[in-house]
Amino acid sequence: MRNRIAVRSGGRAGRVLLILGLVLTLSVLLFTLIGAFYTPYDPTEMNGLEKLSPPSLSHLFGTDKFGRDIFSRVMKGTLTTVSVALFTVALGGAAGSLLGAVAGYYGGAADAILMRLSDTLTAFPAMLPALLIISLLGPGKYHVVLALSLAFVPSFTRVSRAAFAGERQKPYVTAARLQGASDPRVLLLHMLPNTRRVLLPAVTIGFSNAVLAEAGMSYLGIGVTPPDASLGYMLSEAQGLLSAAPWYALACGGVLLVAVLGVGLLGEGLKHA
Amino acid sequence: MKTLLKKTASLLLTLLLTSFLVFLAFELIDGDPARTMLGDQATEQRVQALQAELGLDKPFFTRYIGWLGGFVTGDFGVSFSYRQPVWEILAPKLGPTAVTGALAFLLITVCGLPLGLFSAHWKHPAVLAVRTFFEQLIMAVPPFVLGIGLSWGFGVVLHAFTPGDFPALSEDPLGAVRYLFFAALALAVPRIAMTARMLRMSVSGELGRDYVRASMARGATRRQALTRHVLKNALPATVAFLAQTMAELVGSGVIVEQVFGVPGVGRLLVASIGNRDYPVVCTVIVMLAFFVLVSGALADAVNLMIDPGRRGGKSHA
Repeated sequence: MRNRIAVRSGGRAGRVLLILGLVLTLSVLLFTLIGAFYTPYDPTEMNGLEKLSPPSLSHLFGTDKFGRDIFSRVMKGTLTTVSVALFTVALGGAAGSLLGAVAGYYGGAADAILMRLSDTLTAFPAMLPALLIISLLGPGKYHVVLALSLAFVPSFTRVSRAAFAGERQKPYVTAARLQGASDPRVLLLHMLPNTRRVLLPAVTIGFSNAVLAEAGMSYLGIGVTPPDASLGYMLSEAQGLLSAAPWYALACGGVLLVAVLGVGLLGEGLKHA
Repeated sequence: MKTLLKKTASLLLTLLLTSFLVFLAFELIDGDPARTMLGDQATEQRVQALQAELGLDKPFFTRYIGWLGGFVTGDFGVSFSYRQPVWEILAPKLGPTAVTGALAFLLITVCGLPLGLFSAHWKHPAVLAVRTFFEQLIMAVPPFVLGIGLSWGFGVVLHAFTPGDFPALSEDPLGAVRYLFFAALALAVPRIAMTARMLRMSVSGELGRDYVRASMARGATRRQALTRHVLKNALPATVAFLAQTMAELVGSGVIVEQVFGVPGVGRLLVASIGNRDYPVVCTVIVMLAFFVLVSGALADAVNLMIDPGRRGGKSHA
C-alpha cells in the first residue's frame, strides 16, 4: 500500500517537474531562436559613452567594457552554445545509440569487444578525450562539435546497448521477427520506441553535459573562439570584470544554469512520466 | 587471487592502450614541434639539429617504445617547450591539484552521503517535488561558473581570499589550503547533490523490499534495518559512483584550476596542449588515466569489503 502511494505521488511530482522543465527549456530555446534573427542591439557595436553601465531598461543585462549590450551578446552566445550542444547530442547520440543498438541486438563477440572498449572509455571523464581531440583539430565551433560528439559516443553506446539488450528477449520482438520483419525494421520501429524511457533521459543528460563541456572549453580559450560568441568565452571575459561589472558574469552564468536546469528537470520528469 | 591477477592485467593493458592512443594522437597533429619551437625564420639545418636533439628524427614506433621504457623506469622524457625533464615541471604541480581534489572529495562524501540518507525518508509529494527541484538546480551549477561566483562573493566582496594570488604550498601551507578550499567547494557542490541523489535512489529502492519489512517485523527499528541491511545493498552503486566522481573531478578540475589560477596539473595540461608539448601531455594524460583506473579498482575493492558475496559477480554500477 505504502509503495503504491509512493509511486503515485512520485508521478504527480514528476509531472510538475516535467512541466517546469518544459517551460524552462522552451524559454531557452525561444531565447536562442530569437537571438538567431534579432538582437536588441548589434552585439559587436561599441559605445564609448556607455561603458560598464549596470543593468537598466535600455540595457537589460548592462554593458561590457566596450559599451556593448550584454543582453544581445548573451543571446548570440546562447545561440552558439545551444546549437553546438544540439549538434553534439545529435551526432554523438545517433552514432552511440546505433552502435549500442546493434551490439545489444546481435550480441556475440563484436558486442563483447565493443562493450569492453566503451566501458573503459566511459571510465574517463569526457573532458580528457575532448581536450585531446580539440588539440588535434584546433579551436573553432565545428571542431568542438566533432570533438565532443566523439567524446560522447561511448556513454551513449553503453546506455543504448543496455536498453536494447533488455528488450531483445521480449515476446513482441520475437513476434515481429516471426512475422518476417527485417532487422532494421525491428530495431527502429519496434524496439526504439520502447527504449525511449532510457534513451530520452540519456539525451537530456548528454545535452547538459555538452553545454557544460562547450562552455568549459570555450572558457579555456580552446573551444569556440571569437568572432563567434560563446557563453564560455564570455565568462572568461566577465571574470576579468568581476569587480567592475559583476552582472556580466551573472548573466552568462545564469543563462547557462537555466539551460542545464531546464533539460535536467525535463529528463527527471520524463523518467517518471 | 585469479580475479585480482586478471584485473591487474586488464588495467595494465588499458594503460598501454591509452598511452599508445595519446602518443598516436600527437603524431597525427600537423605540426612539426621542432619547427614550431624555432619559428618560421629558422634554417633547415637548425630544425634538423633540434629534431635530432629531441629524438624526432627516429621512426614512430622506436620513439613510442623508447618513451614507454622511460615511463616505466620513471624517466618521463624532456619537455619540448621548457627543455627540462618532464618530471621537474610536473612535480611542483601535483601538490595543488592533489590537495584540491582531496578536499573536494572529502566535501562530497561528508556532505553527500548523510544528505542522501536523510532525504530518503521524505514522502510528502510537495516535499518530493521541491527536493527534486533543488537537487536538479544544484546539479546544474557548472563548477567553473560557481568558481567565478565564489571568486566574486568571497574574493571581491568578502575579501576572504585574493583570487589569482595563490600562496605557494610549501611556503604558506595553511593559506594555500584555505585558497584551494574555494576551488574544492566549486568542484564539490554539484557533485554533492549528485551523490546524495545516487545514494537516496538506491536506498529508497531497497527500503521497499521484502527483507526490510521482514527485518522490521522481527522487531528491528527502521534505523536498525537501514544500517544493518539496506546500506550493504545500497552502497555499492554509490561507491562506484564515487569512483566515477574522482575521475570527473580530474576533468572539471582542469577548468576550475584555470578559474582560480591554481598552478596545477590541469593548467599545465591545457598550456602543453597549446604548445604541442607532447612529452608533457602524454605523461599527464597517462597519469590521469592511471588515477582514473586505480580509483575504479579501489571502488571494486571497497565493494568487496562491504559485501563479500559479490565476489566474481559483475558489478552493476
